[in-house]
Amino acid sequence: MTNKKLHTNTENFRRYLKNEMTRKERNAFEKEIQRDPFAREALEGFESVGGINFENDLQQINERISPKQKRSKTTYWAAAASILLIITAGVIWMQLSDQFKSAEVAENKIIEKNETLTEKDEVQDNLIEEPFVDKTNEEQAKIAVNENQQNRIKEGKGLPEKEISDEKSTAKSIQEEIKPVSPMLEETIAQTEKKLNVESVIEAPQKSSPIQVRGASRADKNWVDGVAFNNQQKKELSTSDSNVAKELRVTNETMREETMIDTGRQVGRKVTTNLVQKIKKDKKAQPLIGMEAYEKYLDEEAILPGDYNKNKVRVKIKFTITEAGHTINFKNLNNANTFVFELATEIINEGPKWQAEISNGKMINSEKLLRITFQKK
Amino acid sequence: MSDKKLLDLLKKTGNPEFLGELFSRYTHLVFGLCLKYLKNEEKSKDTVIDIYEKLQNEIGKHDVDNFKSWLYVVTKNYCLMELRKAKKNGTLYVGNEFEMDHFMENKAELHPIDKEVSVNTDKALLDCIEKLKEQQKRSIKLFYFENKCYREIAEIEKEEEKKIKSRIQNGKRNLKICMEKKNDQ
Repeated sequence: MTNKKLHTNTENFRRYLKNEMTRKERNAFEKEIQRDPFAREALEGFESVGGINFENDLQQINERISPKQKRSKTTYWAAAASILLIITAGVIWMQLSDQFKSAEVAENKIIEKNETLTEKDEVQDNLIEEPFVDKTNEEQAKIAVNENQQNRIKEGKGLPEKEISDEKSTAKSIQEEIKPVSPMLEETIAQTEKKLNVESVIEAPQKSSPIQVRGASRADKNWVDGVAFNNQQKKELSTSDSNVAKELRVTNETMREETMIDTGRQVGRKVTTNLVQKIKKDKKAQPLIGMEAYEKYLDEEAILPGDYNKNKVRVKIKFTITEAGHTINFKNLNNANTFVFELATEIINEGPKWQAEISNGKMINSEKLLRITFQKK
Repeated sequence: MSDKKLLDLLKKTGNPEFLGELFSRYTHLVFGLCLKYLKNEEKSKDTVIDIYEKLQNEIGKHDVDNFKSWLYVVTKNYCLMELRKAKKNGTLYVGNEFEMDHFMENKAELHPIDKEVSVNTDKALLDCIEKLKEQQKRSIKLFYFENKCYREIAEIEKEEEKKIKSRIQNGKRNLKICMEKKNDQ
């Protein structure tokens, strides 16, 4: 039985929790845990609360309690550096926002100019059609001063030369206005344009063919003859004519209903772990062996140690039975002694499995209250 | 340096650095225990700091011989008090801290199976193991005699790791009851 000891220090805890130990090391560590109630309960804590960053959390704690001067000095320097960084970031941000503001102002001016020019038909068409398409100044000048339009102006009895020249100068001034536009503004403009294009697509009525569903996804109750309705989006989804396969998926914690769809036909299956069950009517959670047999099991197991200071202890314990029949979230309702409460928890955890509650044809989580009387034998 | 030596130095000098060093050896256990009872990461971190501050005030008031045991009791009681504050129910103490540090040190007996006992010599233990329920017997033997970890046993028994842990715990408890009966006879 003798085996190499593995201390329950921080490093071994970290390695155990991160699955970095070999199986032999795990056994040695687990044996040490068995000997050490402090370590055993601590490990239960780490295993019961998910998403813990072991190293980071401990580092934070250690930094907070360290009394050493060296660390304090480091902290002060780190704080000073952080403040400096924040100030620098703030200054940069302010400068950037100033640039944006000036870019916006420039944009507004250009837009205003465009609006005044729309009164003049000849120039108006050009400007509305392609306000900022071209990036180079030369091309912008071309937009502003279109040869065909110029001819029209000349022929069309429209604008006198003065006005033409005015428009030219206006166009030039537009060009000049456009000239100093920063690349940042151009990007902003391009992005705005993209947005406008996207919005127009979104707003268009969805009269095109239904969205085809590819790959696996979860079906809900509204599958009808191969056509699925998504309740949230109220859009019509349909299977494509080609193969649409959906996979049966079963997670560790929960069971999900999946619908298997073959080409041309629909097959529904309900899956629980490795068994195929028919949906039953509503039923409360109960032990698989039946409540009577379960109570007998509890009577047999609820034994107090000989050296315990009482002959009889009652524990009122509440726990959750998950969809998968696991027992979790134990609560000590009558504040029974911690030792006896933990005994009760172990007995339930080790005991026969539970059948989850069924409601509306689905297995759901539910709570159960048990009264267990511990006695000496 | 051993815990005992650090504790002696702390008692003599009162230098908080010695307490810091001692505490840092078990910070992970204190944190884990807080997580078990408080079920909240941030709250547990804060509680660890509170416990450390409490130690600074309390260490001088108690004649502590075993720092780790004493820390275990202090931490557990603190967490239970925090739960009481939250629930406003009756107090649930593990025990008086003064009593418990001596209890833990003097009476903390290892379970017979956790001691390094030779398989050949402890006949009573072997007899009691044979009297266990089949599933508990198998798990105990695989863990203690064949040095399998929980994970391996779970694979062999086709059960969850959590269930194997419970089974071994309950098996040990039943063994202890059986051994006590034999001692009484």
